[in-house]
Amino acid sequence: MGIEKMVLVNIVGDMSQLDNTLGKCCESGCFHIEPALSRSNENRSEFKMLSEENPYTNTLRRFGELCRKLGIDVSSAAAVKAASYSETGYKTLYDFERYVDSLEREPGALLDEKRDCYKEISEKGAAIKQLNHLKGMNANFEQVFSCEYTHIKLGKLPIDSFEKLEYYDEVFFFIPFDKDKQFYWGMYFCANKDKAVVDEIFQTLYFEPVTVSPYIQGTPEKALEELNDAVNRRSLRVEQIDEELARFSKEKSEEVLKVYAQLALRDNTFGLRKKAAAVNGKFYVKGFVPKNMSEDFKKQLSKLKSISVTLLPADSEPDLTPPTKLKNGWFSRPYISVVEMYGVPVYNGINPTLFVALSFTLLFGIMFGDLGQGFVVFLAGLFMSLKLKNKYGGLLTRCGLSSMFFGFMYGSFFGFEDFLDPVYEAIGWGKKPLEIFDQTTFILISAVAIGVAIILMSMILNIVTGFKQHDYEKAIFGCNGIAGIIFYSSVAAALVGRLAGFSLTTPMYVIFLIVIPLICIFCRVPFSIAAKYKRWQLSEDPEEGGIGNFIVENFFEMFEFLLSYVSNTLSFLRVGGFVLCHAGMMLVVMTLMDGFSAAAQPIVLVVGNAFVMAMEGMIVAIQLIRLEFYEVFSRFYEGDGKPFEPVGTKLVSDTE
Amino acid sequence: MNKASLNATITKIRAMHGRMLTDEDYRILSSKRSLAEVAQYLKEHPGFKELFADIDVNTVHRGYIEELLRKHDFEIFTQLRDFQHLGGKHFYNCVSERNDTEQLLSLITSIDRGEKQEFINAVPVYALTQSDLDFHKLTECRTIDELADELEHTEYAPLCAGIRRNTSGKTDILALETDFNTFYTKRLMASIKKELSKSDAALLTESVKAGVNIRNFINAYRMKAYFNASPEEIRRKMIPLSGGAADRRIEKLWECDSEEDMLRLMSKLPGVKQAAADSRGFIETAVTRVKLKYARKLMRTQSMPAVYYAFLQLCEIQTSNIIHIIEGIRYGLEPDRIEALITY
Repeated sequence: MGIEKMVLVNIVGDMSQLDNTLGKCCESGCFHIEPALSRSNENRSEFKMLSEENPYTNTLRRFGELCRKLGIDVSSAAAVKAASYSETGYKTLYDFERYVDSLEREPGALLDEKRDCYKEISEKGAAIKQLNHLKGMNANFEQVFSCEYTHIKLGKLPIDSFEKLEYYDEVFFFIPFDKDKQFYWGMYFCANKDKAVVDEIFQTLYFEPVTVSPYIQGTPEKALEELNDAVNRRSLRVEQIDEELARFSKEKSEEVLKVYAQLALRDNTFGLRKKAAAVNGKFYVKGFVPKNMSEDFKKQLSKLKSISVTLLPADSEPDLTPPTKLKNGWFSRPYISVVEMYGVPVYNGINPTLFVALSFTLLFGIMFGDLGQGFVVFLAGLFMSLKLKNKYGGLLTRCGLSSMFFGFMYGSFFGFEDFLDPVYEAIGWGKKPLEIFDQTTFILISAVAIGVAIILMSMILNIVTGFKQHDYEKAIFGCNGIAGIIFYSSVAAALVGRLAGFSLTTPMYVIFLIVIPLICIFCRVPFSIAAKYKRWQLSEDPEEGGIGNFIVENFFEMFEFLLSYVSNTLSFLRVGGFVLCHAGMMLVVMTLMDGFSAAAQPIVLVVGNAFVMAMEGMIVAIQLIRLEFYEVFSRFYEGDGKPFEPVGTKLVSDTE
Repeated sequence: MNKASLNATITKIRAMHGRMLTDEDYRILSSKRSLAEVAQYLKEHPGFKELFADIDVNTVHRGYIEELLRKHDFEIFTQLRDFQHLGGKHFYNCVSERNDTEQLLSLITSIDRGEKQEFINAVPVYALTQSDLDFHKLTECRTIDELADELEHTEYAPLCAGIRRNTSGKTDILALETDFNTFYTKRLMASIKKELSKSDAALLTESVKAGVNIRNFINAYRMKAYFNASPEEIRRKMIPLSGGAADRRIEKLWECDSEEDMLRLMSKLPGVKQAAADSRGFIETAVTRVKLKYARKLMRTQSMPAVYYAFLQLCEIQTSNIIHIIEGIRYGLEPDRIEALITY
């Protein structure tokens, strides 16, 4: 349950083998490519980065655009297997261009007609809009435009530009007669002699002159009616064309996707050349490979002629940060997406996925405990992972199982609280282990206790990370370091003791386990500087403030830390709150059901359960993500790592 | 207002962040071949649907789209600031104050050139309504000295000596630009220190410093690469840093003999070394990517001021990317060349 160890791979070979090498790297599925030279090294090295224009890109984009017009979803090209690439028989760029040309030609007439329809709809639509705006001008066009000494322009002016008019000294008038969200529609007047200057001013103000559309003829009402009819006719024709295109696409889609996938593969492989460097007919490529796969990878590449592969430790180049590949078992694997939502851990950091998997599953079960509903969540998870291949399916199956377990403990089955009683009697328990509404205090105290355990665990992870990074402030003196954990656990233990009826707060206990840790947290910066550099200094920046400043700042910070210990712990009360909330909501469903006739009751039951599952399921998931991110991750986790992205695996989806 | 209640603004920002352009959107936009296609794409995008609703994609002017996008960013800033009535703090007015600085510089330049009309044409009226300065009155000034007299009664008074013409009757616009930017940065840093909690201030100070470093680096790199400027000339045009050990290391960049040396030194400096290792596109874009990375990192925190500041930066980068795409299309660049110009 850690982070995969990496190896830095340097590949050098003849230029003639570059495409084959990159192809092999893609096939391996385990090669994370890096630029062969960093920008700073480029000037010093004899090697130069390759910067050829990718000849496939524009054809691929054209192909993608054509597919979009035909309604073929190219993202499904990702499903096309490499084995089927060869079936298409397209090898050179010319072959692909010819294929795209022919594909474009076949439905060409339909596509042209559709474009013309859209053009007409757009023009006539604009004329309708124009007509609506011009209705406010109660004047005869011919009279207005026949003025001899006055220059007039009709059009629309952005609202911001309208406000700017008062800054100008020139003599002109702008008369608005309509206004929408962004424009004033109107006309401006000026003397003919000022025409050039005023026209330029309005041009800089983004005034868009309007030429009265030739479509506007006769009375405005009649013109509007005719224009609307024409727009409706063309829209109808567009629908017919779409149907014809859909028939054509259905026939061709399988072949189109295969060719598209092959072209995308070539485009992506060629695109990788940008990361390679070359000199005197030799190329140089570098990247990272997981250590356990490095020997196989080397063996595969060694089959190519005149290729030399060197394996080096991951940290051999200080400029290069190794990527992070999380190593997880079957149970925690589906939770990677939750961790990655926050960010990927750094290469030498810790992998929190197992911790997240355990806490998330446990808390979900507690908050959403119902045997029947948990089973539905489990089935939904199975369906999503097996049929839809959705990454969240695994997460749902685990949460569903946890929900079933706690549902069994609460005796809840689709809201029927007594349904499982015979089972408890059969196994000799007599009654359900947890009666939700009778043991409210126990549930809430347990929720806080679980919260304390989770917070302590995240503090331990913070300490481990701090020591790994040689950050003593974080590991020892910080509010989540050793001092923090001692203080927090001691206060928690003292409170538990008080609840249990005995007192732990002896003077020694208070001094050593509460006061001294608090002093450490208060002086964490000077203490960590002293531990690291063996000198006494109040702050990292020697010019920053004096002792007074230090005391005031840290007093308020301490106040914030103490407040956050309390608020973060109480935050876990929501876990208990949701147990009660779930039971309460199901009680409402049952009460509602009782109010309906016997025939309608099953419908109310199904709808009620579906509603509770959808709404509460979502809320519980959101609350859990919130707890994980803010109460847990904020204590130890920095998602600043670089994700491991092997070339080839996202070969086709890249161009989606 | 306590931290918990500011979570509403964080939630609002995160929702807005979700509607920003993705890498995939940028790739698609880069492959568009006309302004109309770009405008149409944005018109259909959830983040811009409302903004572009009344735009006729076939007739709209490129400059108007740019102005609309900038206005959109400014409206986001005012919306967020006013959502929980945070306008009383200087820090939450940072965008408005930066805009004032930019507009004042632009006004001074246009008066100096005797082309005040240029300023009026370009001035963003929507932003001036939020300003404490009376720009309407300022635009009536005919000379730079008149303008300095007007500014004597404002918070920009400390800059007035630099604004007035020197003994040779000229105004050093480049020096003034550095003065204005330094003035703005110092005010921002002071408000961060004064108005925010220590943890928030630490996060933001790092980010503001990173922004200053990036701006300084890009300017210095250009001065060195295109004008072979001396270290002294470069230093004069830089916004001064606070003088800590890390800052002193950055300042060594200005002393490099060539742009190659700058890159070499940069590859050893924490914070910007990724830019030196970035092989995509231009160095300016690579450096801005570091700024993007900082902003994304801040977005993940639970500090409202940090999230607010980071989001405003992300909006700014997004607008600048769209403008680069539009310009790239205007000059007929190939999609991959356009992609190299944008930060994502």
